[in-house]
Amino acid sequence: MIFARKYLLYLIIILLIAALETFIAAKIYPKIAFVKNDIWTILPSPGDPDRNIYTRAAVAAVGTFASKKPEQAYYQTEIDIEDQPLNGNCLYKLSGEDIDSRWWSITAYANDGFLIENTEKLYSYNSETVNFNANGGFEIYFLGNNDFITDVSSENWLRVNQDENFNISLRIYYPGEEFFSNLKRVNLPIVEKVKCIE
Amino acid sequence: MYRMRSLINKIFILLVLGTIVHLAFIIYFPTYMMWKFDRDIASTSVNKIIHSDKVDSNSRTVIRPSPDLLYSVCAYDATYSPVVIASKVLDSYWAMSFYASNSDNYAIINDLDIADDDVKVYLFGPNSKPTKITDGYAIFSPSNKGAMLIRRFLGNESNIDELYENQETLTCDSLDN
Repeated sequence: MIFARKYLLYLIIILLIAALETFIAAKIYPKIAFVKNDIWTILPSPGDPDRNIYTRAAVAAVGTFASKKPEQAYYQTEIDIEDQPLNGNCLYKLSGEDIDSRWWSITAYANDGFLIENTEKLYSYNSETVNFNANGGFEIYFLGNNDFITDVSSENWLRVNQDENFNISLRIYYPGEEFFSNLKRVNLPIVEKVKCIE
Repeated sequence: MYRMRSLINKIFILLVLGTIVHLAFIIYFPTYMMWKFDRDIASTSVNKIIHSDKVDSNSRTVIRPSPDLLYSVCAYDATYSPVVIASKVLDSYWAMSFYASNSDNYAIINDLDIADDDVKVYLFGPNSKPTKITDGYAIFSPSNKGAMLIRRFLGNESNIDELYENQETLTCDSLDN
């Protein structure tokens, strides 16, 4: 009995060590693997068969069906240009120029990674649905409060949940070559806070 | 001194075993997620197509679904026979992606790769004997089981009827059937 208890204790210690190492890897790995471009982050080869075991596990945890290069570049952000978390109590403006690609889309997600419920049933803008401005660029607003609608100077706006943080994904299909050779500096849209609920 | 060395040895062995368990978890976690996907979505329909409707805020099958794509998926099993996948191809973005049981995206064919209006793919498992294919693509899966996912770009949805019709042209069957 004492013998069995001793080995049960060893088993628990082994599992605790494994859990601790996995926790540390989950904390450290994103800082190493994700490439940062201003507010956006990207995993350079999320679906490639030659990706390392930690990339494979990280992708499986958040998406499973990632594409290999050069099909798609997939950026995410959960902060604005002031490094503050995106929150539904504020109005944000995402502005950028048309993106060198076959097509692209910008989608807002709730903190749990799922689409945000809204009566408009509008979850994203893509290169065919966004209204470009006279200069060929575009703005998309993100708002969680109807009071902000009067501050929106564009037809492009997406609803987010008030009082909750949210994040934005930028999917670029068949991106230009610079999206692979110059990941850190390629020109991407910016997200700036316009105003918040007082 | 002996007890000290024995204790250090024990700690070392526990650390090594803990690291092995950690690595095993990291390596097999993607396989578990693919297995879970198969179980949730396709357990009763191996080598059968499942079409999704446009995703919305109620969609919970995958995390971060794209609202700009119309998906179809086939959880394949090429253990005993190659799997034959056929479909009409769209003029707009249309991509057929193949995922191994560990979630690696080992092959993609999209509309720009295909000159014809339709495509046929023979999917061979790692133990299959490759045969000469004259009427389609031969693709070799690194695992017997996996998933094939089709993405269709919804764009401004002006051709959404055509996209839904395209779903109906898709087949995914064992070659023996």
